[in-house]
Amino acid sequence: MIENLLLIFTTSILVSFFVRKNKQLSKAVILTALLVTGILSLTHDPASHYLDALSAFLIAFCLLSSLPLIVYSKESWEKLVLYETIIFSCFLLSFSENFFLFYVLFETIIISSSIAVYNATKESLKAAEKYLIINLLGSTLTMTGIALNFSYTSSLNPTSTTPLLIAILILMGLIVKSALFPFHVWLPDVYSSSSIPTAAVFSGIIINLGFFGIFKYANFIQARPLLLVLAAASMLYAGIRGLTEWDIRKLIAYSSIIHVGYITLGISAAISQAPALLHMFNHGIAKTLMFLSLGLITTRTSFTDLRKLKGYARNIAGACFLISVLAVAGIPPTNCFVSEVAIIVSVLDSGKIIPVAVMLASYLLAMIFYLRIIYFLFFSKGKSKKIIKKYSWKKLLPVLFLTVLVLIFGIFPSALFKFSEAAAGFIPAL
Amino acid sequence: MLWLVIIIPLLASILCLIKEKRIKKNLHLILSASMLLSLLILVLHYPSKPIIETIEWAPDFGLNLAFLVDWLSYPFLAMILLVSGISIYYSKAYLQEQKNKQLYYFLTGLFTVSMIGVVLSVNLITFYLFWDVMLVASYFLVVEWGEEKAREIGLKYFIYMAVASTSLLLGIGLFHASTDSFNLLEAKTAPAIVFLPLMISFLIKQGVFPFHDWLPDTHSVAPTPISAMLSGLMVNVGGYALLRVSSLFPEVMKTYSTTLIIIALISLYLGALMVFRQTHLKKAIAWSTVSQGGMIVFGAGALTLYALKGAGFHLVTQALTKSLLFLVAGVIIYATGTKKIDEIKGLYRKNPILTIAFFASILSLAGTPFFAAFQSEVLIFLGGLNYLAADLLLIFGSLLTLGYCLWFAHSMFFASGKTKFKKIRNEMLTTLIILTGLIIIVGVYPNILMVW
Repeated sequence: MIENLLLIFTTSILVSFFVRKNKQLSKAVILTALLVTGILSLTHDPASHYLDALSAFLIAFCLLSSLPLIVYSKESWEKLVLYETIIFSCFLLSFSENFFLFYVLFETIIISSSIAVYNATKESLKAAEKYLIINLLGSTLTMTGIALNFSYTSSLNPTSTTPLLIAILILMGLIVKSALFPFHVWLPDVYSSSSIPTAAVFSGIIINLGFFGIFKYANFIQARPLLLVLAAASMLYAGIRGLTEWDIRKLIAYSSIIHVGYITLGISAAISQAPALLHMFNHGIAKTLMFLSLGLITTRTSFTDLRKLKGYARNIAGACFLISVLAVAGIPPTNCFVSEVAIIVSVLDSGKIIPVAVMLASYLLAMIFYLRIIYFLFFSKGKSKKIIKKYSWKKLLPVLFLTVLVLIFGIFPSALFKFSEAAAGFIPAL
Repeated sequence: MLWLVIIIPLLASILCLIKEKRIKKNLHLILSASMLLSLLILVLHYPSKPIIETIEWAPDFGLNLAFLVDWLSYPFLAMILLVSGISIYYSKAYLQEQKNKQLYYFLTGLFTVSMIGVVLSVNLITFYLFWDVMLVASYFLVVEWGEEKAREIGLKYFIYMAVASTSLLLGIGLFHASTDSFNLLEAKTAPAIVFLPLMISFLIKQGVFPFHDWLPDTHSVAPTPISAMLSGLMVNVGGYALLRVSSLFPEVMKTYSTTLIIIALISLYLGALMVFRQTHLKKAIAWSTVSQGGMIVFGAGALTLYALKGAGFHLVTQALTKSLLFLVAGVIIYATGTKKIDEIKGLYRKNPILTIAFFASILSLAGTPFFAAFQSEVLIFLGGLNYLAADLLLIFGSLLTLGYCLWFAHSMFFASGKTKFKKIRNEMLTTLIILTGLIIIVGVYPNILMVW
């Protein structure tokens, strides 16, 4: 099975290399390869490999949030191959059988994504370096944790006998990748200096990889208080920091940090892990939509300052962007609303009120800066010469697709909710 | 069949987005007609005993559309449909020179649908859902079609409402944690603490002291038909929710009785006294909304049968009175071209229909017999008798209402002076006649809208 996937992967890279002059064709090759590998890994025989509902959920998430982005991207062959590597590694990592394999794929993604960040500007080089250094330090700690764990329990996977210190070491790399509070510093830079599809990959998939690890291997019950504190700190910090930020991409980064906080809260304080899993899915899709539609809105400008983008979003892409902002703000009938309510209810069911109060406080703070985005992009009157009225359908299609997804998962949450509950049944509690 | 009451206006408002010539010409007729149709369907569901209708939506998530029509929701729903239909019809005259008419009608339709949804729902999740749609739709309506400064004031409005939503969300979470259900009817009782965030949220929406700050500003910059809907309907949705909770959990809500009554009295006096200080016509009327909000909160706090029924009926009569008063103000502003109360003089002999409508609305507001709000105010007074001191203060406070009503009448209609006066459009006059008629009919035969 794995060898088939690898074969398809390498063949697609080779083929697309030979036809790289024809951008459309090479993109189509890569897209087909991803689609085929994704569907193959979703449908292959569960007996032969470690594919359970959880892996299927993660793979479905990667597929849904990554394919629109490949369709959207108009970048060079190299970038597309980097995206393909990242997403393909995500597939493999979703049904990996042991934590060491997970770690190797995790490293692959860190390195390939840091290359993807670089796009020939000084800022992006700085951001890529920052991202690479911080994440490699984190995953070195994880590696140390794995080694210590192996010598202690003679198992590659973390087990329930893993001591707290080793558990924290193992969690370290995952936390850094998820950009929780003290380790979030790389995120705003990466979001603001990379190209739009790269930022979308980061906000949709890469930021959630840490949670993949926690859900699949490292769900330590004893480390939950630590996670809870980090979650509360990230929600409050990002909520307050976002108030003074004018760069729209950095604002999106702070909103990501807040949502990472929500997910971590769902992991560490709720009765069931299903709401956190669901919110990871919903937030990933909404953020991908947010970046792609932002890309359409700012096609002809290089500004990211809100004050210079006055009234830019009064068109079809703006409507999609508005829906993504409403989703991220947790306003019905969008998908994030459902999962946020599920997290709140689940945490309250376990009898914890203070974390929910913190979450709602950050929800309010975030509401203020979402409102500012809406205000400047839609209602301020600026020079409206640069507003684009018509887009090529190739760029608009993925954005519309994601918009429909956001609305459908918001209005008919039942199926996805069931799926996430089935998946949560496979999350180990250590 | 109750779901039709929501679906028909929703479909009609989506229809308004279609770019077709015949639709574009008759936007206001399409929407108003759909409201009327919904009203007919609602009348078929006259609740001699409470009607509950449940539709499964996402059962795994505890989400169902549970609709309830009873003595509290039936009259208010009828009023929402009537007043929205009339305001939408009036919009045609208001929107002459504005852009994006289709979007305006779509959002107005959505706004109405969300209010209907809030009033019908007893499942708290769907309640919250419609509550937030209400916020989003009204925010865009105020900001995009409002007067100058609407953008800045819209921010304030949104922040207040966001606090209300968050607090509501917290309350819903606590409710589920303590009763294991989202359905208001399924829970027998809940700890008092659960109702604190819910209550704060409802009071913010009702715009009473100490959460009144958003109300006068927002109402004064919103487009006139939307002001009528905000002041007559949306604000009272907060009061409706408060009454719903009070009537379902009277034992628990007793804890908050005193607080609510104090809040009610402060708002009543604050609102009424602030009216005298205003120079902006719409702002003055908005302050009177704060004042009347106190009446409803008083009913929810007093918790007797008469007080609850009276406050429930006050929602309806306020919806009529306030929307008529705002539409009259809109006509006056349109005809004279000024919003300053001091500059408007001698309207007494300008237009008979305008004069009659104005006097009907202020007489109703002041609680004169044979006008709508008389019955409801009397019921609230009767119901509050067990808090005698507070009740006497309330009666004295309603005299202040009479005071500012006379001041309006004196300064705008009787004071001598010259104001230029444009001819009034026919759509405007039609709506005024309909609403005046309704106020008198409801005042004379309150039983057509009162369900005991």
